[in-house]
Amino acid sequence: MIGEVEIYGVYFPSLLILMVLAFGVTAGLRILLGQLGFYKLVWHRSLMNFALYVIVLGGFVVLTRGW
Amino acid sequence: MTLPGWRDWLFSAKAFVAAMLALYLAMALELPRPYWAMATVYVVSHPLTGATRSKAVYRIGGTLLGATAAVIFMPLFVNAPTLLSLVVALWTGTLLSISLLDRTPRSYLFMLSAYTLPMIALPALNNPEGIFDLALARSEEILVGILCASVVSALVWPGKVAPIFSARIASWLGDARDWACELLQQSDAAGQPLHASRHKLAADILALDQFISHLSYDTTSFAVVKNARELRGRMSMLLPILSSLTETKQALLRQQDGMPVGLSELMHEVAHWMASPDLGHLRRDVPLLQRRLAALKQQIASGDSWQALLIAHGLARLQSLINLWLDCRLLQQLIAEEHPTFQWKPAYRHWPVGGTARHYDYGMMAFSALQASTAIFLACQLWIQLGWTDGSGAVIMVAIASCFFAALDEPAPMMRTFLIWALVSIALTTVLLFMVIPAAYTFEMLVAMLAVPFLLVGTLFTRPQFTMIAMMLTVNTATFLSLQGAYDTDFTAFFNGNVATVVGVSFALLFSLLVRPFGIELAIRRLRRASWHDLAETSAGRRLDDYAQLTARMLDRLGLLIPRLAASGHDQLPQVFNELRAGFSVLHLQRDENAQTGPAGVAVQQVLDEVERHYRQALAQRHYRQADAHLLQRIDAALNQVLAESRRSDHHVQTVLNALVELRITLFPVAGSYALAACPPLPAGGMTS
Repeated sequence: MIGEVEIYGVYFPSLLILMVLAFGVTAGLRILLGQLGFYKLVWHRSLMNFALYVIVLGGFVVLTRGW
Repeated sequence: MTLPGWRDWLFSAKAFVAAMLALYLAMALELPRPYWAMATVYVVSHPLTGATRSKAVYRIGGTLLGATAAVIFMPLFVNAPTLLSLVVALWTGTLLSISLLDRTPRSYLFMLSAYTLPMIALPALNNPEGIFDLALARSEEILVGILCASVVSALVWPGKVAPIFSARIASWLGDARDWACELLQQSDAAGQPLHASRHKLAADILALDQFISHLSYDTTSFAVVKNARELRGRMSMLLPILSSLTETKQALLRQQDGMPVGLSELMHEVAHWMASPDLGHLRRDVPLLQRRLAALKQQIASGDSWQALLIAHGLARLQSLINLWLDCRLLQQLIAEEHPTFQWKPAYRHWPVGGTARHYDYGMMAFSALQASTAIFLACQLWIQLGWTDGSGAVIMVAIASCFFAALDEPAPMMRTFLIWALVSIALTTVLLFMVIPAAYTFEMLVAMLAVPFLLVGTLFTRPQFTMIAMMLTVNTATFLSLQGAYDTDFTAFFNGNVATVVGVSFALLFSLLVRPFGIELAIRRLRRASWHDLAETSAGRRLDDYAQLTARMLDRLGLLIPRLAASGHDQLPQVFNELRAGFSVLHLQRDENAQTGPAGVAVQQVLDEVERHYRQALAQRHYRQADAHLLQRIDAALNQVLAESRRSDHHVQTVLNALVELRITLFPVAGSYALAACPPLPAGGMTS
């Protein structure tokens, strides 16, 4: 997980890249869930979104690194 | 001054938790200045989650923009300090003017990037190679602070918008109701009470604007934002309608016959209806009121006398008031409900209310931006000439103070406040830094020691009148503390930094006093001239593109004028309202669907030409004067023509008549009654004017 990605001579930790990616994916999921009316069932919307983000990020980490 | 309630404590606790989390993370990540993360939390904290989010987004954008500029410009001009200070001054001035042009919360983005460049570039002058790392570090620290503030404010007891917003709306509508009831129930011509609620209402509308723009960042409230915009449009329409009703009533009371009994009874009823707290009740009674109104119209407002015209006009305004008020109350209910229980159909439909145009005073904006630029350039020159190493802090403070208060007519008093609270912060910091914090061996102890002052000051954030002070205290204290991974307070550096801050703010203050001897007076004059100009243009028919936009601009100007008039203690308010109403009348007369044919059309056109001349004269003479009798004759002639030739029942004819009546009582409040016979015949070839 300590890998680094080089962009134009600047080194970024790969986790940062994954975090940004996960944010994008979560944003898409939020819109989708909103369209489906899923949030009417949710008590604490922000908490739900936060948890969703953590799950997506975790998924990315697992995918890129394996167990 | 009441003691803070549990909401205030909760907000304060949330902000403090977020700040400590940010500090901890920044220290753990070994960023060079963890205290920036902590200060950022206090900068973006706001009782409304949506507002925190909007400020956060703009702060990130502004920081990145400013930091990028610093990284680009600094290496280019590092060997030419004068040139560099010129670049910094120009950058700040340009970005500041962009931020002044944008009257939404987004302006924060541009303002922040305006002073982020000097903040990063100037301290790096002694060490140009480190500029990139410095810019990166500042961006990271701010990002950490913002993330902590956003996450904590959204996850831990998020501030629900609806209850706060509902309470605000209730108090705003209360202001509107007070004014309406006061005017509807007042029964004698002599008593001209001071409408405090009038001032308040216009200020309320500005506050509502700010609220709406914050709301649009709260993901849960798309419907609320839409309804809030509708509400805002209708609230601002209340102003001209109420003011017009006041004048009509005065004019009627000055008549020989005075106020007809039926009309004053109806007014009392409407006042009573408006004050009723129960919404169901409110909706049930509307048809009843409408029927009474229609009956009155038949009875006393169908003649051709001046009195009948006045009554018809008053009734039309009353009708609008009823519709507007119903809309406002229904919208209030809709906003308060989480899940709407009914469909809202607008009751008030005969005038577009949704314009978004704004009044801009480009001259003043350019002046403010230029003032900031000049102040920064001069401060830079002084700093370079003196060779005072730590002087960069002073220049940064000049930039910050100039930017913060650039939008004000009179920045000096606010800068003085800023200076005073900066001094208080310095005192507080000194106590903390040299007596309290040295005893803290662990992070937990540090948090415990910071908790007392920060939690106390944090409770002030939730009160609008103290927000600014709380912000200055917390942000400055967090910055001056310069908390870093290890305790290494160097008294000389600390002292130098504080002196630089005080010198910088004082310089900005003195400069502002020097180049801005004018203030609110000038702003008022310029606003009024702009509105005369608009009126003249509209009368001449040069700006008929969009009624909604013109209306919005007039109302916006009114909203800008009223707080200034209130602050300067001028009583030009009646005149300002008059201009607004004259503007509405002109717009009514200009609208295509109200166009009259034949001699009536010609007469109306002549009235418009006269109105244009009247306002052009006001512009030329630089002050307002009473309109001359010529215009009065024209209005009377037009009234005659319109009455003579057309079907009174036609809606558009009614509109034209009402607009003419409105113009007459607006421009000639004390002119006697208009009489059909006493009116001069139209000159032959009445086209020449």
